[in-house]
Amino acid sequence: MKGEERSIDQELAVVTGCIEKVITPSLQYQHNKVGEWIKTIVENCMQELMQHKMQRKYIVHCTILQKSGAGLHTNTCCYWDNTSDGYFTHKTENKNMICVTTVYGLAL
Amino acid sequence: MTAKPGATYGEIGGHTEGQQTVKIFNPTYLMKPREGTKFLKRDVEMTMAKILQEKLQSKEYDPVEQSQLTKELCTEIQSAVKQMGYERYKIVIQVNITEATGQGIRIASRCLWDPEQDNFAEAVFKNQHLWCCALCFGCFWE
Repeated sequence: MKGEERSIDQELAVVTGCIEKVITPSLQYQHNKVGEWIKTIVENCMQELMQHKMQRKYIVHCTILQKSGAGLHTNTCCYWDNTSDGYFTHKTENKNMICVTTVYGLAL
Repeated sequence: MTAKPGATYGEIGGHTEGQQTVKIFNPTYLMKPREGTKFLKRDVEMTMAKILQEKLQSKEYDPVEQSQLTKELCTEIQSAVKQMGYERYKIVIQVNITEATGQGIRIASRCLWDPEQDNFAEAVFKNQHLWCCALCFGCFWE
């Protein structure tokens, strides 16, 4: 259990860093570039997680939403083993968009 | 400890500690799902699309209602997928609902898993007031 808590905190630091590098505070939402940004975020997060070399399956999920006054609701439901599996969510926003990233870690 | 007749595969019995019965499981050494229990993308997609269609058909976007609705959708999709009989699969469901006002949205996932055993299913529903995307990831538990 202790090992599990430490590693979820580590996932926190790693994923946060990857997102903050792409979604800077002054970034404008551009429809033709958002695909590239999201791909960079998700692939970099995955690369960082792979370096941990833990016995886990990972799912990295990212949503970027343009800010236009519309609402967004997200919900997750999981059927797994609470003692060995976990998730971490990070929300970043700037003036023009919101980015919500979730990382799920599932033990083998 | 002897195996109980009619026990599910892997279970070899248990003992009582205090008021709880502790189950002990034998390793099954299974590398892949048994026949007929593999996560089938198309079936799950059809199930999810049906649930979204039923629940969101004539809904308008209301912030208070949607927060409750996403939870209900999640639990309903989870029960439906559990009943589809994918043994030894861990299921992760994600539901996103947003108001349709012409803003841009982009959703992406990457997974580190075994592509032969694991898969994901997605369903999208759109009406003039809202847009909903449901994702279901199934990971085999070795």
